[in-house]
Amino acid sequence: MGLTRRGRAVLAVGVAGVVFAAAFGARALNAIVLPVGVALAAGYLQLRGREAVSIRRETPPEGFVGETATVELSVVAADGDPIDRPLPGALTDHVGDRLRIVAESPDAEATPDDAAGADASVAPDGSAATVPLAVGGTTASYDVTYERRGEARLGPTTVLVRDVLGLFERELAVPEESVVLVYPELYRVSSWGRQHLARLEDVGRSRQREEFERLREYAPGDSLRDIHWRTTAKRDELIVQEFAAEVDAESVTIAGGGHPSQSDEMATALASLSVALLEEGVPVSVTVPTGTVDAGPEQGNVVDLLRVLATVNGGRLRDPDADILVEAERDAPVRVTVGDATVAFDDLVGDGAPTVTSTDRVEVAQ
Amino acid sequence: MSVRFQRRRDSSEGGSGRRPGRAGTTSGASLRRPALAGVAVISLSYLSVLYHITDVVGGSGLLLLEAATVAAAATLAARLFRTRQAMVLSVGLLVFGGAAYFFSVPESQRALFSVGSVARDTAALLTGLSALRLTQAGTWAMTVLPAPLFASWFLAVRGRTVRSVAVAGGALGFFVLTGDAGAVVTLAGTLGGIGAVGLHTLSVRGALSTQWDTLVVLLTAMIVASTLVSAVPGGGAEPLFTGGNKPNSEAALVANGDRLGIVGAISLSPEVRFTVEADRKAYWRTGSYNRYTGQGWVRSGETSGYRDDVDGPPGSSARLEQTVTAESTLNAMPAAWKPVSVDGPVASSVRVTAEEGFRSGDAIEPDESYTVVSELPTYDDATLREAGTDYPDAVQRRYTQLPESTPDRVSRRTQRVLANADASNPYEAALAIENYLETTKEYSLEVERPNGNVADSFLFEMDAGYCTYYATTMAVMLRSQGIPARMATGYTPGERVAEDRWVVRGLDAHTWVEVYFPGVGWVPFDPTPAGPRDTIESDRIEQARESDVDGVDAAGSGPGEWTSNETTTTTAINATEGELGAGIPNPQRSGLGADVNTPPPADLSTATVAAADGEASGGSPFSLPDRETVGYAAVFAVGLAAAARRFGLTAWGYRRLWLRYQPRTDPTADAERAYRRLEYLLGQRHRQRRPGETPRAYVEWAVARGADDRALSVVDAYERARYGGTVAEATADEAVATVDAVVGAETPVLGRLRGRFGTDRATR
Repeated sequence: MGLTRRGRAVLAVGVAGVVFAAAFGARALNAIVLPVGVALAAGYLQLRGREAVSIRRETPPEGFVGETATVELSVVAADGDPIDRPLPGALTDHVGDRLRIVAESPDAEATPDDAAGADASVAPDGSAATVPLAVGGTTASYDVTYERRGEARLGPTTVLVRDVLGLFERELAVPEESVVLVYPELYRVSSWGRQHLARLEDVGRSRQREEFERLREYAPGDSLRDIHWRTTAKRDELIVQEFAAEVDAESVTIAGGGHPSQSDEMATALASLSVALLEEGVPVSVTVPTGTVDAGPEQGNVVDLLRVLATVNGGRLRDPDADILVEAERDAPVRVTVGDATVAFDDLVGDGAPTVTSTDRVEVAQ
Repeated sequence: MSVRFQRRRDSSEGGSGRRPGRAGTTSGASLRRPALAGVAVISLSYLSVLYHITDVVGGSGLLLLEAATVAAAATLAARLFRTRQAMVLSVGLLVFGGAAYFFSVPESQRALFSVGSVARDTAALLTGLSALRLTQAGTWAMTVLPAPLFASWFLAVRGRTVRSVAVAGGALGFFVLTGDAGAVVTLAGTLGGIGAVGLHTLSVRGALSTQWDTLVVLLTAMIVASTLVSAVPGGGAEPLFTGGNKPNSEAALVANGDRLGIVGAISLSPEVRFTVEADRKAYWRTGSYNRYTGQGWVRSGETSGYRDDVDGPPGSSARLEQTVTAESTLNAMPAAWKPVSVDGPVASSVRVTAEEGFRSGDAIEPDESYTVVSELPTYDDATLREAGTDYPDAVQRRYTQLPESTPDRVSRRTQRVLANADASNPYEAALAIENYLETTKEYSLEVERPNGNVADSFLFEMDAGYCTYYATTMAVMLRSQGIPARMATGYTPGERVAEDRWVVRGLDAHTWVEVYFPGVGWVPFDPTPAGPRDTIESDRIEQARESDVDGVDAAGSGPGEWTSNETTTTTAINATEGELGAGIPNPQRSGLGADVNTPPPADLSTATVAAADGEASGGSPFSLPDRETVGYAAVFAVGLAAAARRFGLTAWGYRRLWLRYQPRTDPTADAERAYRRLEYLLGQRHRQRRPGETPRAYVEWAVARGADDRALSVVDAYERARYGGTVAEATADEAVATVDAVVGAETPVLGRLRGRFGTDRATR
């Protein structure tokens, strides 16, 4: 606990009051010195016993690079109970370099107000946000943009508690940290790119409704669209046609590998291609240097794939026989090999604009 | 399974009631900040000081207009300018103000300005020189106001509350240091500033709602502390560079500072201050004051060095050589009016005040002595009667000033007094006023200082007072009629111990009035009734002698040692008409004129009793409390209420009340609440009900542990109300009565009485 700049100024006023009174006469200095003394004593008493707090951080959802999410924090007593009579103060939360805190309004960074001002501020490099608040009385929140894929750190936190006049303050460091997983940057594969992928012989999915498998009797719940009127006309009962089920589609195998310095680009390419295929309803099986993940209606959740790609590092290409090969050499663009054709990943995504911007949010549903 | 791309949901939709603190919001100019109220209070505090200055010397209306304009301009500027621009503008206002003041002082004085003199004057102001002493105090007030007011209001509107308070506090602090801000004004301003800082600190979201009571408790504690406790050392103001005037124990009367405050009850010391050797006795004068502030007197203007060419009075005069020997440390230089030369070790440090009196730069130590030659104006009644009203301009300007706030009734009353006495010239006017005050007011040292204008209060509200009150009122009454008058302080002649020797004690400290007569000069008038004053004085000396107080006697003084046919008091001076004024107010007027209706009181305590018994005195023991007491009580009540909330007493008290008294609504609610009370009580006595534990299981557990088994019937009623949806009124009544009884039996005496009553009701 120490005096703030304001507290030191107030103390100086009090001392000067006593000195001037002793040297040149009391005048009305008593009416300054005593309130100042009361203020300082009360400030000390208010901060006494407020020695430790703990933080509850509402970790934002996992997301793609470029996405923005809100972090919410509340301060509780060290034992987890709500704080009794919250005092004014401020909370400063630090984040790792995979995240950047964004200031909502452009001039928020410009001029933080007086020490206890009501304005929040964000460090110029986006690594810390300071939110003035009643410590324990209200939650603080700030927005972060996901900058780089991987395990992004939230914390540590510094909590500043002041007395009601802001004369004393106590800085409480809360070392607790939490982690949010940031998925690789995602690009939408252009239509040319999709056609390129479609050249795969093995994309053996029935894409036309016309490719029906068999005819059978109508059963309640069948769509009227599926009634095969021509056959129905021949017979006395309703006949429906049944199409080839998508579940029969075979997975497309994708394998990635490359230099560790290019692992971000490799992960981006793997994620973008996988998501493009999954959107088409094609299951994928992605092999990275550390292992293989399946994603598709049957094979598993896309989230599991994205989580692996969030932290994958470079390495040897483990499955050179895969349908799609993604190779990231040092100092070279990522190459995608489909069958016998090799193209740059950048060409597949066309204009190259990331699919997900800070104003878009990708929702990954099961 | 799918991966969907969609617009991000707006996070403000479906927000909870409590808005979280957000990173990234800003603030601009706004008049809706709570802290502005505090800044307004501190601004008003120093504005009130300046207003008082202009009230005394003139121009208060203009000052208020200026203050309103500056505040409006600052509010507007807060929307238009950046902070830096506004601060430059404020500094510009300060420089402009200084220049305006410089050009407002008469050209003759302008030459005296130098960096050194300005620095010296500033230091003198900061160490207690009243701003009222400045010759151009009104102009000074007008020029000094805009800069701090503009800067602090601008900053406050912009939300820079702490800086705003720093600026305003600087201005208030300045006036505290000059001694112009009184204790109440200073306290109000300090609390305003602290309140503003508190509201600003609590402006972070969620803080004000939980901590406002702390702030209120703090402010109340500050009020209580600073009115009850005196923490700072030091006595009266002792400004630097103004002649080292340390007030003596008669400070209230003869502190030869530049300012004479008027206080309440005083006690004068019977110790000997000095002895005078002179051929003739006189009022040993220490100083005079020209500017009446409503609460006291101020001497404006600068002192000048003493050279051996001080003029005598304008008319005829008589020479009187006095040798004054200090018996205790003297801070003033007693001398008969009008001193013209001085000789002795102190002569080198003597300065001549703007009132043409002498003042010693250094204290005069015991046994030190000096010789001063005075030219006493001589006159007789006829001279004064015929002196006319052709006053010199400077005298008229300087000595007829009155605060603008002086009530008109003072002037009206004076006119009536003059009409009744048939006074047709200033001399008769002075006699009439003197006589009026002597006959209508009692003499007492035990008075309470009035709040407002002292002269007005003494004239209309008070029945008793001492010399300062008499003299102040007389001077104000004369001035209200355009007659130049001033306040003089000093000592009465004292006890005559030898043919040419007087012993002067602290008890002889006195104030009186001097009235200017063209062609004569300043003539003393003493409106204080001499009889009671002398009685009190001699009694105090007797008492002091009996109780062996040191320093009561000196240089041969003592009970009855010099037995001349003259006694020691002024009443016996038998000045005949045509004799010298001799520095003594005409005894026919001052001494014998004191036809006090009641016999002179025997001592001080009877004096106050006599005053209290006087007709229509306001001393009824059951009178309404004054405004100060009411205000203080109100503050205290608010503070107590806030403290009760701050320390959780209200919640505690509510819980007690809730437990004991159950207002009735409908049977279902009644039964439920009865059970809640029971559960609370059992929780206090045994343990809380665990989550998941049914009320019945809990109560049965408690009953097994020795709780009152009537509790089971309450659970019955509760279950019926809660799960059955309805409960008979009689069942609910019984449940409530049972809980009343249980609560009564479990809680202390008061509750037990109620519990018995509750049991009766339950069985009925």
